[in-house]
Amino acid sequence: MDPHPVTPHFQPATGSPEQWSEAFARVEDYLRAHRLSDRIRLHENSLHILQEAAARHAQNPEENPVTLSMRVAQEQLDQWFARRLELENVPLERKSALGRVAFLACDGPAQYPSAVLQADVLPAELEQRVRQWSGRAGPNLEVSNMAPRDMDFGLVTEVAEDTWEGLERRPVVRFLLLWAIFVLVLTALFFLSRP
Amino acid sequence: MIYRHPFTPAMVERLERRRGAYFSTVFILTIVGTLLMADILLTGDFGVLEVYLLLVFIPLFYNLSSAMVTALVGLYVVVRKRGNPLSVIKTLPDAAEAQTPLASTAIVMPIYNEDVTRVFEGLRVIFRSLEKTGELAAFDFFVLSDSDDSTKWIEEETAWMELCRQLKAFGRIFYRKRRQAINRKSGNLADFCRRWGKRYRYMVVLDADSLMSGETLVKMVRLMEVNPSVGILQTSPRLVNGETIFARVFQFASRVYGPVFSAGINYWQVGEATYWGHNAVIRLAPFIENCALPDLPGKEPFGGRILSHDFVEAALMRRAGYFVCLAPEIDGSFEEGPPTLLDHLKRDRRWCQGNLQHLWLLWAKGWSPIHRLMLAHGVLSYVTSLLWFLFLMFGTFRGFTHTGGPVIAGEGLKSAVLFGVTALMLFGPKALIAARVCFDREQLEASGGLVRFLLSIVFETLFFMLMAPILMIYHSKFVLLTILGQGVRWATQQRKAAGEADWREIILNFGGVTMFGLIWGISCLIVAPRLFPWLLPVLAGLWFCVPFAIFTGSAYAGARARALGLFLTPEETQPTWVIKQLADNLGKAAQRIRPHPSLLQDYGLLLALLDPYINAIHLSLLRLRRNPPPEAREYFQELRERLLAQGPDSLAAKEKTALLFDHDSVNWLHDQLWSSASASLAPWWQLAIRQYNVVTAEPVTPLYR
Repeated sequence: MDPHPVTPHFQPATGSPEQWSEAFARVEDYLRAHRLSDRIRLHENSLHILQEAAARHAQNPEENPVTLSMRVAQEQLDQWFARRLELENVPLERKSALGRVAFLACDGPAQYPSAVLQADVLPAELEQRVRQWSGRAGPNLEVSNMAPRDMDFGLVTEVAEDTWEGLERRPVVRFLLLWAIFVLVLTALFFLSRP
Repeated sequence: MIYRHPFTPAMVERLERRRGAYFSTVFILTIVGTLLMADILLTGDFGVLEVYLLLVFIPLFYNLSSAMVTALVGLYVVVRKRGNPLSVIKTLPDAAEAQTPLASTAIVMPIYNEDVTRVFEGLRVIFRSLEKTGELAAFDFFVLSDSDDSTKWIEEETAWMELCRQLKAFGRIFYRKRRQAINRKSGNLADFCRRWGKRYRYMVVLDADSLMSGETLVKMVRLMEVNPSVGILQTSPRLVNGETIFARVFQFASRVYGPVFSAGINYWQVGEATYWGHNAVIRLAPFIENCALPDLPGKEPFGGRILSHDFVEAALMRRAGYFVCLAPEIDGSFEEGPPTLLDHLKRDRRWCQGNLQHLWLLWAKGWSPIHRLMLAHGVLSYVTSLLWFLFLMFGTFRGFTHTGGPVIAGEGLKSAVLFGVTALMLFGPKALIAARVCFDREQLEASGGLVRFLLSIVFETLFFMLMAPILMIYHSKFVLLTILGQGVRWATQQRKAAGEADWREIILNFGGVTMFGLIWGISCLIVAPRLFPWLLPVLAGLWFCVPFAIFTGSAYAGARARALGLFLTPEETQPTWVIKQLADNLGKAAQRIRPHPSLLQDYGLLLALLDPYINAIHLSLLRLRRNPPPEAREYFQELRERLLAQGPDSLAAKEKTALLFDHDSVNWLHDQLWSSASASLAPWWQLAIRQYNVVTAEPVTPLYR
């Protein structure tokens, strides 16, 4: 978007003032969420977006101005962020997300908070850093095969495993065995507690 | 011996002599104790009960002997100026240190629903510390997340991005989130090894609460470089940052006794030490080739995948011909301990299950005898609690049935001798180690001076005397439940203010132990009153279990103890740069604006869907799924609409995670939340948007800078 003068008058042909007021607040919040803190720029950008939305609303008055304004805001922001990167064969929403991340990673919101939606404000140095930014969550893969080696667990373990598996296959035997142990313990306790 | 310099027969002989002397002493002491016990039991009727008593007594006394000899040997090593000439640290003389170039090293931190601020602030401090050494270029950092809490997940991603931005560390600090947390921590590390292991010669494994100084990391890598046959180098981390009484007592005790015990085990283990799972450096090529964990026979909890992987990995590394070394002499390695008794027990429950699984491995072929013994020690460390419990139960029965005769260990001169020997073995090494600190002016002053140090020792001894019976009951329960394939249920914590103990949780969890202690004590008092005094130290621990857990879990009491100069450690009174820096950073982070309490539970979802930058970070880390099947689209559409119309409470945790993994859903929800009329959204979202707009003047991230 090119820089544009402050727009003091906003008079939509369709929609109620309450609807446009809510739309303005929502758009302003959304731009603020992009760390756009300069109030004049924020106001100006919000009104500009609303003007575009109002023009569309005039052609389609059934649409909710809030929804319409936010759609315009998101489109403009998507395109602005997507333009920060030179990526081929990547869908717009992905490109826009990567552009946002690159702008954030290069300190764009902190150093140039008013730059968002301004076409020619980004300093060349920042513009270049954002374009070249390739912060990835992981380095290139260098795949290794890490497979367990055969392990001989020994005779005792083999016997134990067979017994264990055997008991698991025969729930009735397991049940009887547990009760037998319980009865044995009780019997032992009975005899141990007698003088 | 073992390392790079020639393997001299004299050194091998020396190690063999050490091991021979160590085990001979342990076995002689065990035999002497057993004979004393047998002599006492033989004076009366020697029946089945006496046989049982003797059988459970032997492993208990073996454990005691082994701990005592380790402590005495450790004390010998610590006191003498030369230290341990066979220790790996001796292979890197000061002069050679600076000239040894470093190799590529990955510092990996596997995490699972951890405190995100602590994780990333810890990494920040380690990064800065490495930067100060001028050797940062050799190190890359990996945060390996298995978090299934969506809020933690989003906070981790944001914190990663912020940390990289602030430190200008893109391409140096990496973040990986697994979709499926297969095989938990060991699986997470194996996943790292498979993906990127080839890029690095070494991997330093950290826990979420680990902290290491740059100098320590550099030294460890250099030690590995000069010792190509060492596969794992383990440091002996010191406990720090304890706030509650519980954590502070453990911290104090580990600072006083820990170095001596570490020196003691290192005296006879030398190149066949264990790996403790963190604060260690691992040679990656042999680790990848030899240390993948096999599945155990049978099913969980006793079989299946190996839970306590570290011991097994050390044994596998040794089996492959590499040495596993402990370097207790290396400073600058820290970790944090559990803050409360309950947290300690929950951790013990996992460790108990993991250690009991090692029973399967005891007879496996190829282990070195020392590692086989240590696997057995691991099993024994939990089984001894059950044995001690059985010993006391048999003793009680004996007391009940021999009301006119001797009680637990008999009476008279013989039992007095055995009692004295046992007490000496329990408390003698502690007293000697404490005495050593008293003669170490520097450590004594850093521990608050003589009076405070001695008072701390007395309270610490009382603390462990009270805690031992509680651990005995719980460990016995863990062992039995693991064998029976059952889990342990814990009453869950109610949200409380920081530092405040939750009485309800403690009473529900420990009330049963108190009841058991009361029944046991009262029956003794009625049936065999002469037995009662013998059991009193054990019974007291059980009776006071609830107040003990409440008092020791209190951060307020911990702060008071610190103000009084109790349980002080040198790391507290003279903190190193990394400890101080971490405390400063966490202090600043604690001053951040907290989200509205009703939004806290799903704050990650809120951030990922509302904040355009955090939404973009999350989207950029997700895989773009092209042409998903119609069933998946329908499923996600239904979830999305439910989330917007009814709020996050209408979705299960797994559904929220599924949504957050779906690129299209995250994108769509972000658009919809911002463009829908407020009235069409769930009240939760209306509040979230209002709150978000209030706090969004500053970037909303888990980091403060």
